[in-house]
Amino acid sequence: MSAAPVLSVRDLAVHFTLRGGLPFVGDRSRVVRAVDGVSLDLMPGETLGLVGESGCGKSTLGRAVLQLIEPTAGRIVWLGRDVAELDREALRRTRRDRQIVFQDPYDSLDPRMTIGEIIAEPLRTFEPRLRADQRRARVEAMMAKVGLLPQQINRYPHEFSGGQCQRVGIARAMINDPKLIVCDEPVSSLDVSIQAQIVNLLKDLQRDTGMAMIFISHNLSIVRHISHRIMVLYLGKVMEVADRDTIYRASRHPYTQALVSAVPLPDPDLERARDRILLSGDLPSPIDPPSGCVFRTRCPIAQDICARRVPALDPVATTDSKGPHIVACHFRDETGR
Amino acid sequence: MPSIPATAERFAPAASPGRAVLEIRDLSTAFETPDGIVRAVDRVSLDVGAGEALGIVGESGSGKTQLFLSVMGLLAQNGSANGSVRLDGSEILNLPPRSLNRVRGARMAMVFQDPLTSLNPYLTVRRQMTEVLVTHRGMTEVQARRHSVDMLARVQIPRAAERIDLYPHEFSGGMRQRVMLAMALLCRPSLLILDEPTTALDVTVQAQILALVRELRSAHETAIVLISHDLGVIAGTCDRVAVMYAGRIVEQAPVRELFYRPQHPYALGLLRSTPRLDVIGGERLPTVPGQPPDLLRVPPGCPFAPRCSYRFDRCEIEEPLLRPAGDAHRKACHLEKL
Amino acid sequence: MSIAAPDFRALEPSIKGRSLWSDAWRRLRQNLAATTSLVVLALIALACIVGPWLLPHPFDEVYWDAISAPPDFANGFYFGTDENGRDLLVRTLHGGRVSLSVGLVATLVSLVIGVLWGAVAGFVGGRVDAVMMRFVDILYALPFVFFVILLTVMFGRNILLIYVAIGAISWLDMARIVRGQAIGLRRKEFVVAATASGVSTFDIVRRHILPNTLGPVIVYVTLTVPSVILTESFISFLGLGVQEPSTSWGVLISEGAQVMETAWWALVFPGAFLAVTLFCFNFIGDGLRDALDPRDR
Repeated sequence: MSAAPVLSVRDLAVHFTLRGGLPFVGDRSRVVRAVDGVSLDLMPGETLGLVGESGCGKSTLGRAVLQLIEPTAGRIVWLGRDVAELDREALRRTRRDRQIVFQDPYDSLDPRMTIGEIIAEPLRTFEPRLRADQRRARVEAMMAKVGLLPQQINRYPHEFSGGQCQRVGIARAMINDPKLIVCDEPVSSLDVSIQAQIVNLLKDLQRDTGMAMIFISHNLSIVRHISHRIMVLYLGKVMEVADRDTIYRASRHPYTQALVSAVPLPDPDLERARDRILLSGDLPSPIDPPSGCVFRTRCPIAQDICARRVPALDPVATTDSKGPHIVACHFRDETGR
Repeated sequence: MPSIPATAERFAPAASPGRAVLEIRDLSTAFETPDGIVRAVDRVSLDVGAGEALGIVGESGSGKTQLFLSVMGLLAQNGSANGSVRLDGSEILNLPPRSLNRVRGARMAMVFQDPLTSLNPYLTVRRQMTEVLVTHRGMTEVQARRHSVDMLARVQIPRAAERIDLYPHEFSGGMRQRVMLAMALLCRPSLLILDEPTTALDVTVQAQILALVRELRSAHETAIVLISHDLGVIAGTCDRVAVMYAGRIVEQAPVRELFYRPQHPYALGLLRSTPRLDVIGGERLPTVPGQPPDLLRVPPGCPFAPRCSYRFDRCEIEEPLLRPAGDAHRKACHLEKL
Repeated sequence: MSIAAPDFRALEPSIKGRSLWSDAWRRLRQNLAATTSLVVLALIALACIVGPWLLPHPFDEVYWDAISAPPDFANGFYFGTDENGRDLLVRTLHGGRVSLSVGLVATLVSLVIGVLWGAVAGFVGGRVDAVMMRFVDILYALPFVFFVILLTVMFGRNILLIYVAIGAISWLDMARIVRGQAIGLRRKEFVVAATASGVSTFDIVRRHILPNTLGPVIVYVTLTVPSVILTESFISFLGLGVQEPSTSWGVLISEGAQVMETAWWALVFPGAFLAVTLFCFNFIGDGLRDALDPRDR
């Protein structure tokens, strides 16, 4: 595999300003730090899973790296080029190679277009010289590839089930053979028996095309199944990054450990015999995050230092992880189990 | 909070459920829609005993929610339910609203998926809670308030005495769901129905809520029905499980039986296609092919036949009825053994 | 390797899908008031277009021996005559041509300008939106009758003027409505998806925003037409509209009102035509709104 990452992100921040209060009476504007200093490198053919709970910023991060949301700070390097140097037209052209699949299968499709038109749209945008019959052939081929019957090319989204609409969304994203796909909770709105179909489809497509994937989900089991590496987020900051087995078996961050222990297993004996780490308290407000380590208010092992100093995202001393294992915790070398 | 050792969480399932709190016999619910009649629930019979937790598993179109909306008398205008539902021995299906209101909230309560829309945003939590007590248990305002604060503390809401006067939107999602639980338990109902109570919550909050449900269950001998599509949630909290498909129960068994020895191809398919955190299987997840059923066009015979890899001729002609398949284990399938 | 998902929703290898438009049309057909109105409206339009050619009396011909004559099947003046001795039936139909054409043309103008203006302002947002909508606000503040009088003074009484004046005003509401729609659509995921696919702003507006605003726009159009006809009637009633001998329903009603006590037919027939036409448009608009509203899922 070539050594250059397709995507490199450094210190990405997305801050939303909420305006409040009366004008001229003090600055009451409050800032929501949805993403607060995230860095990552993504290799071709790799799947990075983004997990975290509400308010962690994973969805915002996924859209920010595609520049569907304007980042407040930080650098994004796409295929070796800093996107800040691109003008509008060049930026638009990069969209050919980086795509997104959304959570709600119906909302992401224009209800007034046939699925053939929906899938064809990226083709019309980037290969306008294609003749109608050539375009149609490509659309039909893509439909077959994602498991849709090509004869249904003239049907409308509302005539399909959720799982099928999601296949349409995937077909649209894949039609121009992108190098990166961001999947934003792609199976969360689907029935369990359909989720497995879609997950298999994404894995197959990745294997066939060698594209990179960012898979965003709150469902840790699915993320572990489809990702190579997993990044755990909390309140816009990275808590831990490691390969998928290490995150499950040997995570070092107390939040990751709590997360893993909270995921229910479909196995009655195991489930009832488990040690559970129950977090206390509530998620802090993203407008007013705790000082130092943002997780300290719910952390079972928080100490004074956690309030005073923000822990650096550094590698652990010893780990079984394939690839770097970085943890943002002052006690990263002591939390092993 | 340190990790909770396993023994404190293990609970003894009711050996024999004792008296049946809820008895449903041949319940069918149909909706009239412009496109035809939809049979959301099709001849369902089941029992829930005191102190027992029954899990209901199903996906879209399974009828799991409509089944209990029928029990609670909360169907939409175009729905009608037939059959028999007995709560603590007395018939409650299709009771007139006034009689039903005496039962609802007092002897049976339901907690829904989205606490944000279940609570009235214009009333304080205190108002909404004391209203229940004053109406059903004839308490005074003062008594009711005290009792409500107690209950909020019981569901682990810190500083309950102050928080009770807040409005719903001032609570977080997990807190709101606890408030809903507290409200449901105010009158010590014999039956508590939880419809996807943690689906909208973060997984760490979900763990807290489920631990709470287990604790409350053993403390009060309440009969609990837990509806969920999440098999992990069911595995950790329920004693018995019923799997529904296209409005029918297709398998019913004690929880360990269902998870370790499923007898219906759909249940087996669901279990296999659910990714587990502790297992990385091969490259592909086993799947259940096809789509959830379209209730307007249910094929004759077994509703699951189109998607079943074990189907044979009889399956497309004759509908399988529930029959014994082991100890307290029933399945609706023509196969002898899976 | 593909995962062929067996689908039992649409097993026939059909070619044509069931679009939202065809569903809406089906629902509209079931609405009795709307379909009746469509038929009646079509008949009125047909009568107004074809009638004056088929009828024996020209609309401006004066019959000296039948001044203010009441309706009479015997002498062929089915609606009677006006105080100038002109056949009222053919004048009503001729007036219908004018009123209906003003209604349609001005509405068309307002549709084209208003929809484009609103869609661009709503979708692009920001400063562009602010500037465009301030322009609309300014025009809104213009006193309409004053404007019409001004035009009449400058250019004389001219049918074209009516088109211009009414068209210039009626697109404002349309722009506001479409802008509101566009703002809502901007946030919808399929629009974000189009942006993510690299579709240019112009193509997004053309392909996604416009078709999805058509629902409320169509309804609004059916309500704009009667409003325009009324406005034209009002202008004509004031005496600023069409030139003699041409006429419109407004002019006829104005004249008829003056002789209402002695020649009831002069008011009743044009008034009835106007009223029925307005009712029809309203029923159709209601029917369309109901038909286009429920989204099939």
